[in-house]
Parts: sequence; structure tokens; C-alpha cells
Amino acid sequence: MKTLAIYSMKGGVGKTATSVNLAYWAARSGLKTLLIDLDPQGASSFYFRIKPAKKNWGKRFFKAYENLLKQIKASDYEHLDIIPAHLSFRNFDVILDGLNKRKGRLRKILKGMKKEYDLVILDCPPSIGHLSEAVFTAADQLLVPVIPTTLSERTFEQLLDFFREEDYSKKKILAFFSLVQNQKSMHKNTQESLRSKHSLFLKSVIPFSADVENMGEHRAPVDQFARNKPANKAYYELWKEVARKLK
Amino acid sequence: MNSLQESSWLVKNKSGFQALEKRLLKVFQQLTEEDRQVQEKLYLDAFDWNLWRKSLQLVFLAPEGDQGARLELQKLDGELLETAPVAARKPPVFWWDLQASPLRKLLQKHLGVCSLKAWGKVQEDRCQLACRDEEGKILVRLLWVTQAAYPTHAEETPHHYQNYLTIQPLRGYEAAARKVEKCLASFLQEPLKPDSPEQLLLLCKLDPAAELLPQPLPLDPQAATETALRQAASLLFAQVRRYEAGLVADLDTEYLHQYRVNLRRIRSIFSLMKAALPSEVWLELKERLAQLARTTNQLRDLDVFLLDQQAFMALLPEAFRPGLQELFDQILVERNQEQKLLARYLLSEDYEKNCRWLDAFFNQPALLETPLATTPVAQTASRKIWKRYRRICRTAGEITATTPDEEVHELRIECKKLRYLLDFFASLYPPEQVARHLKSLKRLQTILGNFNDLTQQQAFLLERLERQTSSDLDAALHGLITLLYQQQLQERAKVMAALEAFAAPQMQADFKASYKE
Repeated sequence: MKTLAIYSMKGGVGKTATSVNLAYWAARSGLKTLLIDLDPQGASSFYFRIKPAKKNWGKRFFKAYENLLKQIKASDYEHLDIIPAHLSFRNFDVILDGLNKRKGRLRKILKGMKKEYDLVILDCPPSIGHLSEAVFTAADQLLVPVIPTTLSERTFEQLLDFFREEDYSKKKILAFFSLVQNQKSMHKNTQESLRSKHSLFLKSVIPFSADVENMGEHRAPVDQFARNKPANKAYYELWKEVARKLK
Repeated sequence: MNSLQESSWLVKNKSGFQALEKRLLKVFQQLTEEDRQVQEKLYLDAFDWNLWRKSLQLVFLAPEGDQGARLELQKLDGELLETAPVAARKPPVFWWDLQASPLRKLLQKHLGVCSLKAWGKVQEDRCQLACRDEEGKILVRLLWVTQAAYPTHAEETPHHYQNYLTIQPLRGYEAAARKVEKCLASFLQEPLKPDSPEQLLLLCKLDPAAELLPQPLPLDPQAATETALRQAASLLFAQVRRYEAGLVADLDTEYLHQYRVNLRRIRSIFSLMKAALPSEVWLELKERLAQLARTTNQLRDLDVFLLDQQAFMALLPEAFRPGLQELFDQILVERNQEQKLLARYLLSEDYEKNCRWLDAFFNQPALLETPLATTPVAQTASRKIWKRYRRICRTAGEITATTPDEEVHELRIECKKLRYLLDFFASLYPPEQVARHLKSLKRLQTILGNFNDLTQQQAFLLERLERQTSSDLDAALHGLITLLYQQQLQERAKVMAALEAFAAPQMQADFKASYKE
């Protein structure tokens, strides 16, 4: 089983759209996939029409694994299950805070999923904190969407700094350009400069597209309503590239 | 991913889909059709239900649209074991009609030379449905299957229409599946999978167990020996006649083989207990049975030779093969002529008269005119088995490396007789005891059988040599006979060791304890 976290310190970079579409293509390729919506805003659950669970999570963390299993919901697509967002994820940070070796806890919980799933995708909230650190430890790969703007470039450098300072392996990070508008010269230049500085950018690029925005209306992965559009092909290419890296 | 337990139901006959839909829409916001497929399926097996006997079923899925034909080997509960595409649009007749695949290997193992036939046909409409909530999320999936099933053996085939509902719960939405079952309860007849072979056999009015001979043959231990003989022979003779149609139609070589096997079993049990009949009665019965057997001898010999074609070819170097092929071509022509002769005989008035006589004889009450006739069959059984085993042990003791082949053949006949006795009386003894004795007897018989086959094959080829042959065929025949002779010498060497094991003191003690009164 592999764990892939879709992560960005910044919001609004197309993180959830990436989680939803990659989870969809992973399942389509035959991998038994579990998408965990860690973002309390619950956007990826929303895209899969799954209502957040009402039941409260147990407070005690040693029961976290059993609790997690109870939350699993089948999506409408074969091989794809989802753990919907829950307000109590807000407290994840707090729970993790109270424990020693907290960084390793999430990894340990996810290990239990090995029997059932080939791939776990974590849709992470935009922040840096205990939860993020637990994610950095648990994930085999961290997939980071980057909008090619100066501001995003700065955020990305901050992430790399954080990894260096906290001694996480930089090899875990995979980045790709998201919401790209090539008609903008800033987008073009930023891509060039970042690619020349860092080898960890994937070839695939996700264009800025109305079809991606329309996911909210259709409440489905792009492939379900805009099969032949560039955005759909871009997500498919991105999945293939990520899948090769996960092997 | 934890797949949850599906539940399948046979839907009550009067309940159409619309009624179900109406009921479901009271509980769920939407009901959507996700996928729909029509499929024609043929259920295949050999005449003697070789696959069914192994708890297997073979399904031919006819080509639909751009989907090619497929073959699926399943367990009787529907679990898929192997599947393979079929290039032709029609189902295969023999395993060797298929392309190389694991499925082909399994069929080779279970079918041997037996042909396949379709016994049942199902036309199926599979509709995949989804019950959704107000946000369009699927809460439970349903499979609605409409089937028209009919047997393929009858000319006027009644169609049986049936509907099945399968409820497929989704993880995290188990309650929705329970709701479906609850709200449709009054439509559901009984839990049943749409691919249940029992149900299809029932609809087709087929009962494999009733067609086949019971194993072992049922015997009443207290019955008089003559009565038991007649009853068993009646069952066996029904089997003999069961193979006639396939023999006439020349479907495969197994029909003739099984015809002869069952006939020989009748001849053997009466012959081994001929004292149960007045001698003039026995003589007439013997002659009538012999007449049936005689007419099939030639065809079987030719069949056996042709079945060994590949093995014979493999023995010879490439250069000699065309010569031998000549012989196989000739024999195939002869074989087909012989088959036509036999078919004509089986359809003749003479044959029918003979069969009627035999059938009447087996079903007549016993005459009970001789001491053996009235002996309880259990007593006869032990006496006969023990006597025969003792005789084999005695003969075995006399056989050395230099004993003439004829004596080895005689021993083979003795073993065959013991085999018939053990088979026939099997139901009177503990099954594990019979199985143990049969196992060691079979081991010996295999070696003696191989030895005998090699002798027969040489005789067959020598007889061919005496006819007009081309020089190529001549060379091939000489080569083949030499090779077979060498093999026979090797096989002969094994006979001694096998005999020793079968007549060993432990085995003797075991037979004595089991059958000596």
C-alpha cells in the first residue's frame, strides 16, 4: 500500500480537485483506493456527494483506527472508498499534540489499511502544524500543487525550508503546476525559473479551466462530464506520472 | 475495500419491475439505470455429466455486439474458476477445439475424449440499477435479471421466465440495503442466485444423478444371489442402452467404450456366478450378450488405435511419420465404415429383439433353481472374492522372469475378474476397505494392462504388415513394432514387483480378515 498526500500550505491552489480526480483515476486503473478528506471544509466529500458523518469520533486516540474504519463510505465508483471530512478533524491537531511520537501516529493508523487498499490519498487542509507533520511522516509521496506566481513560489520555497530544517526527506516532494494560464507571462516565467531551480517538478501541468470549476456543479470527477476536454486529459496524464513515481 | 455480502432473490412470478420501482421510489429519491446487457448462455457438459460430477459447470457466453464469445468454468455455486475467449461463434465440442489456456487444460483433465453438448440455454437481460439520495449519491446498487431458460434436448421447448433481484450493499450505507429488502419483502420468493445450476436443471427437468448408475450398485445383503444379479443387470443394461443414440450419431468414441464397459460388467458378473442359473439358461444368456459385444469389437479396436495416433507418431523419427500417416488415413476410412455398419445394426429389428429379450430376462423374477441362486448375496460375495484373491496369489507365486507371456495374460484376466467382483459387491463392505483393496488392485492392473496393450498393439501392426503396404509404411511399421517390443520388455520387468506387493503377507492377511468367512 502507498500513501499519497495532496498538500499545500496555501489555499485555493486546486488541491481538492487534484485529490478527487487522481483518486478517481487511481481507482479506474484498478487500484483499491481510499481517499481521506482531512480538510474540515469537506470539499472532496462534497464532490463525491458524500455527507459528512454525524456521529462523533471517539476522543481517545488509541481507538482512532477502529473509528476511522467505521467512517468509510463507498463512492459511486468501483474500487474507490472515501472517509468524509468531519468537524472533529479540526481536533486532529489537538489530539496529535497531546501525544508523544505524534508524528508517527498517523502512519501507524494508516498501516492498518494495508489489507484492504493499494493506495491511500490524503486531501490535507492548507496549514502547517502537527497534522501536516504527521502527514509528512505518513506519506510516501507529497504531491504539491503550485500556481506559477511569485507568491506561490515563495510559499513553495518555505515548504522546502521547513523540510530541510525538520530533516524530512526532500525526495518525498513531488510538485506540479496548477491553474496554469500560459497566456500570462508571469506564469510562463515562474514555471521556467522554478523548473531550472528544482528537479522535483512533474512534466504534467493542470491548466486553468472552467471544467474544473464546474466539478462543484456536477459533483463528480471531470471525466464524468467533460471527458474530451484538456483538463480531463491533464489529470489523467498527471495520474500516470504520479503512479510511476509511486512504484 | 471490504466487499459486503450481496443477497440474491428469486422474485415472485407475478411481480414485474414496475411494481418494484414504485415501491422503491417511496423509500429512495431516485432510481437510475446504470448499465444494461443482454446475454445468451449455453450450459455445457459431457453426456455422462463429467463436469457436474466434479461440482463444476461450463458456460458458453455467446458473442454479443463487439464482445466475442467466452467460456467460463465455474463451481456449482457460481464462483469463477477459469475463463477463456472462444474464437468461434459456436461452443466447442472437444477440449482440443480451444486455444491453449488453463481452462483448456482443466477441460482436458475432466473430459478426456468425451464431447460436450449443451443441455440448457438461458437468455438473460441484466439491468444494473442504483438507488440514490436527494444529492444523487448512490446508497445501494441493485441487479435486476430477467431470464428465459429452456432445455436443449426437447423439440418443443417450454420457456421458463424468471426474475431475480440482487441487492448489493455499499460500505457505509448498509442501512439502505436493509431498507430495500424490507420494502420489497412481499415481492421476494426465496433466496436464490440467478446462476444457480440446480434451478436450471430443475427447469429443464434434468436429473444427472438419476441418469447415471448409482455408485456403488445398491445390493440387499439378504437377497438371493440370482435376484441380486438380475436387479443389478437390469440397471446396467439400461446404461448400455443409454449410449446407443450417441453411438449411432457417432458423437465421440466414449459412447462405444461405455456401452462395452457396461455390457462387459453384465457378462462378467453372470459368468463369475453362472452356477446361479440353470446351465441351459446361462448358455442362452451368454450367447445373446456375446452377440452384442461381438458386433462392437472391430470398431473399438480401430478407435483405440486412432486414439493412440499422437503417441505412435511421437515414437517415430520425423522421416518415418508420413509412412505411418498413410496407415492412420486408411484406418480412419475403415473405422468410419465400421461405425456405419454398427449404427445400422443398432437400428435393426434383430438388435431390438435381442435387447427386448435381455431386458425381459433381467426383470423376470428369479428362478431360484440352484443352490447358489438361493444363497444370500453377502455370503456369495465374500466367498467369491476370497477364492479369486487366493487364486491370484497362487498364480503370482508361480510367475518368474522366464514365465511365458501367456501366463501373465491369464493372470491379468484373473485380476480383472477380482476387479469385477469388488466393484459389484462394493456396497456390502465398508467403503474404506473396498477403496483400499481396489487401490492396490488397480496399481497391479495398470501394469498388467500396459503390458497387454503393448502385446495387442504389436499384433495389430503385425496383422497390417501382412497386407499390401507401401515401402514407407513397411519401414514405419517395422520400426514401431520394434519400439513397442522394447517397451513391452521394460513393462514386463515391472510386473514381478507389482505382483509381489499384491500378494504380500500383509495384504493376504488383510483380504483374509475382510472376506474369509
